[in-house]
Amino acid sequence: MPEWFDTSPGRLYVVATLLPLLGCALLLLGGLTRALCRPHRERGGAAGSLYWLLGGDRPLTTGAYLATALMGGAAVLAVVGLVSFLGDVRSGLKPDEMAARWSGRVDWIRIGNTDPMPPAAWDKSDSARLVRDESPAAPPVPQAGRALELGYRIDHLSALMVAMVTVIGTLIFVFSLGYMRDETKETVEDHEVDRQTPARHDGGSHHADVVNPSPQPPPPGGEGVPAQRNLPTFGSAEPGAGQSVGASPPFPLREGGPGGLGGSGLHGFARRGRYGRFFAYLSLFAFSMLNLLIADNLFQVFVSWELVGVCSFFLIGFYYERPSASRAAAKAFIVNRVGDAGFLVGIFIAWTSLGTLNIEELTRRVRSPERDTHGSLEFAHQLVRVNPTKTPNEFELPAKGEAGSHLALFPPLWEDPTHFHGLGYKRTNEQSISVPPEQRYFDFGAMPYWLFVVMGAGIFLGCVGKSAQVPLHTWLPDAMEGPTPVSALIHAATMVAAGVYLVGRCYVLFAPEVLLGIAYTGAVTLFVAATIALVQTDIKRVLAYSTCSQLGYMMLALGVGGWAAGLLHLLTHAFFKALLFLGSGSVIHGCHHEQDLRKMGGLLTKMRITGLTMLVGVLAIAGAPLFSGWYSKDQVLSSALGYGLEHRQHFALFVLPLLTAAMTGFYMFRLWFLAFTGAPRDHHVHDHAHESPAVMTVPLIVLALFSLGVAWGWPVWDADASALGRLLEAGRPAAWLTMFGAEAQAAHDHHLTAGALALLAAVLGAGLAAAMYWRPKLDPAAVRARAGGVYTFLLNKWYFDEAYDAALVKPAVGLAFASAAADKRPTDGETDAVPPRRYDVRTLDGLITTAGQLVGAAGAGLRRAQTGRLRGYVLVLALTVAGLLGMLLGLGG
Amino acid sequence: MIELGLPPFLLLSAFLFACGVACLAVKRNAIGVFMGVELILNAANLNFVAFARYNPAFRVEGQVFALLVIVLAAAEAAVALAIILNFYNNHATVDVDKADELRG
Repeated sequence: MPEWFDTSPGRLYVVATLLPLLGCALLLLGGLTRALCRPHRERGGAAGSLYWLLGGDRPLTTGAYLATALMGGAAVLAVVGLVSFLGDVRSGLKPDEMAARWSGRVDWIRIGNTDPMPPAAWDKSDSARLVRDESPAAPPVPQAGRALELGYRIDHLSALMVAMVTVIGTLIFVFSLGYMRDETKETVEDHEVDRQTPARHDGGSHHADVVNPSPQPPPPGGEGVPAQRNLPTFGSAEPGAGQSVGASPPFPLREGGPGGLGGSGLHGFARRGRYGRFFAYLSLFAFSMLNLLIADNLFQVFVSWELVGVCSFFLIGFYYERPSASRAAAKAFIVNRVGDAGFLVGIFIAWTSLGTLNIEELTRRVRSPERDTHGSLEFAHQLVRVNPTKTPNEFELPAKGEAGSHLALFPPLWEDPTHFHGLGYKRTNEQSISVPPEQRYFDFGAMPYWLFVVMGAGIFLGCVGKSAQVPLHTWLPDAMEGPTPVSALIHAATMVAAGVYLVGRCYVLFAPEVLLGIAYTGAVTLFVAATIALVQTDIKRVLAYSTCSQLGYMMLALGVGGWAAGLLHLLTHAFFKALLFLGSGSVIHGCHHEQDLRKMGGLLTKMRITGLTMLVGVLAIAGAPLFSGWYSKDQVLSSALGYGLEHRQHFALFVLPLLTAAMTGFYMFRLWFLAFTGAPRDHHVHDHAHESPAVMTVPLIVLALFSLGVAWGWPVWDADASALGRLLEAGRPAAWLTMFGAEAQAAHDHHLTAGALALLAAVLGAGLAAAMYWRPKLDPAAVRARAGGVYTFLLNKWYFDEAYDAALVKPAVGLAFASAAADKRPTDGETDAVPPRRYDVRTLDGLITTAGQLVGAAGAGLRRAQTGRLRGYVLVLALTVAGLLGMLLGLGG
Repeated sequence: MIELGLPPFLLLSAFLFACGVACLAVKRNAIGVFMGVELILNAANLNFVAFARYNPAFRVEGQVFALLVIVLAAAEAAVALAIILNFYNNHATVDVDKADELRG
């Protein structure tokens, strides 16, 4: 076993990825067995005792502990892997040795030749784009089909990300053990359902019914499906267990009415606890995310991407009996689909135009290699744009100062010198880069440049959806309906990080135009989200918008060339945002599920650990010196400043984040002051508030330590010397320097300016928050009154939801209703038993009916052939054989 | 000894096969049908041994397969006769045209 890891330590990561999946599978299996044994629970016997062994009527906690332990194991493996990866890097292995040790892949589906060829050999027979090759001396073309692969590749970025995700994931698992303790009960009462249900009955908005057209079916659960329960509150209606079709889901029978008598002592909606199911989801989520991180090709990324999406759907809708939760889950899922459609388009373009989905090969295909057999190349690492010539499939470089209409492609296996002999362009710009005849079997092609831009934009659109950038950010605040550990998991370590991570990983596939778009998207997002966060009163919503805003910082940094800066911010942000979310979870838990900041206050005396650890998080996110957020935000802002100085017309890309730095300081300190300082505003909440148990505070403390020191380097006071940042810088894509050399230099030169300005802005913001909420010099109400319209505008979140509603949802609903009305016969009554439809019978319905009838008719005809007469069969057989022989002879002759 | 060569064997085998198929096609008696099957099997057998004799590459394989077919024929005879007997017990006839209860 140790040798197995020694030869290829990248397998550590594969095992670490699979461990959470194992946890999920075990939980599912346990739940299934329990559900299967349930009918035997009264009768005893082996099945009956198995039922009681698996927890009986109460949710079993063992599975949750097991899942947590497996996640911890994954964290240990990831840290071991990180250490040995860095050891390998330090010992200076060659790239191919590194690749052998830290990556691997298996073909999954292969089209074309099944021989294991060098994986990326380009199949020249498949496309007319490639240069014709009529040289008679050409050696046999190595045929290798295209393959979908499963593979992993560990580099600096993914090693760090996996370590971060597993460590934070483990802490969140541990925290959930405490936070979800309620779910271990046999009967959980969910008062929120009661509070929301009446609102649903009084008409509601169309929006609600359309965004969430059918009530969420119960996700396949780790604890099995509770069948007929003995609870008096259930009656026979299991919520959403299949019968809930149509627009109005049957709500479970509740004890009494809304003001019920409560004869049995149960109020509100009662259901079985779902402890194990929660951990099954978390485990699946962790697996998907880790798989996304180690994947070496876009297809695998996409699969994990969707898995992450569906897990987030399950987790956000964990309390799916609440209409708001099920709506939020559906919203997150649907909004993400919009982005994923773009991602798919990007993948399709990559597959058809570039012939591979492997990220490394894609890079080699679009970026010029550094050197060939004749020496180093002028266009090293650049995107080479060419123009088509009159000869088909030949291309030439455009005149100086012009941009070609096509992008030159390069052979993916360029290291092999024999394949690279006679590359047609070297040093001179005049020479045509079409391939000379002696060019053998690897050759150039070209793709339209606009298609390449669309590919990058498509991939980025996927990231926009997943990382909640404007305009697809609206799902993220709603996702707060999920349990708080889920919010932490989704918003800190996993799902929203995936988008930024993918941008980082596919960095060299983005054309400059796309990178500029990324930068502007990030800048707009960080500003918009921060302004909304200023006025929110729900503790988790403030954090959600702050997450949006910070993700905007990362995107901005990536777009302006701060590759390491953006990803460093991703890593540090993951720690302090997880800390803040778990802290808010602890507050909510301690205040008995009160989330409104206006009802808190003065909690520091009651929850000292939570308050202090959250203060660390607040300081980190605001960018207080020596906290981890300081290092990363400093680098982000200096990258932006460097870019702004190089490209004066884009100076807004520095101004917006600077303003937002002040707002970040304001809203984070506002949150902390409102929750923890001052006089208690709601005595009921304050009196019952209590500190959370150790299982919840210990993760907080650990995360606080990470938030403080994860980015430290030596010297600590030098924002540029962060050790983590150095690691990321070492892992920068090779093409980065060519892409952003000048900007990086400018960023380096003006580092101190940017840092000082950011710090000043943050201090101003924090000071304003202190003046308004801590030592009241300014009355918030007066400020609100003076802001007037702006305040309402922000409180309504820039009216994004309303705009989408008016622009997309309403027309769609209108169209649907219009279609339904058109299909209705004038004579049809409202309550007609016959479905009111006129055209449907003949069109869509008719199509399907016809298909069925055709199959039936074919069967009726064919059964005549089945006479049961042996001699008839033999005759047909003999004649058929004779006929086939005749054909064979005819063909042969 | 006259060396006959491969073609006569193949012709004989084809003749046997044709006889077998014709037998299958025209007989109504289940026993007759069964005999047709035996003829076909023997045609195949003849092919096997003929190729084993004249093609050095199949020297062993042809004979092994011929033996296999003989064993197979024996097993088949046992099963087929059992089926025919049962059919007779139930229908008081061995006419295969009467065995059409499973027709479509």
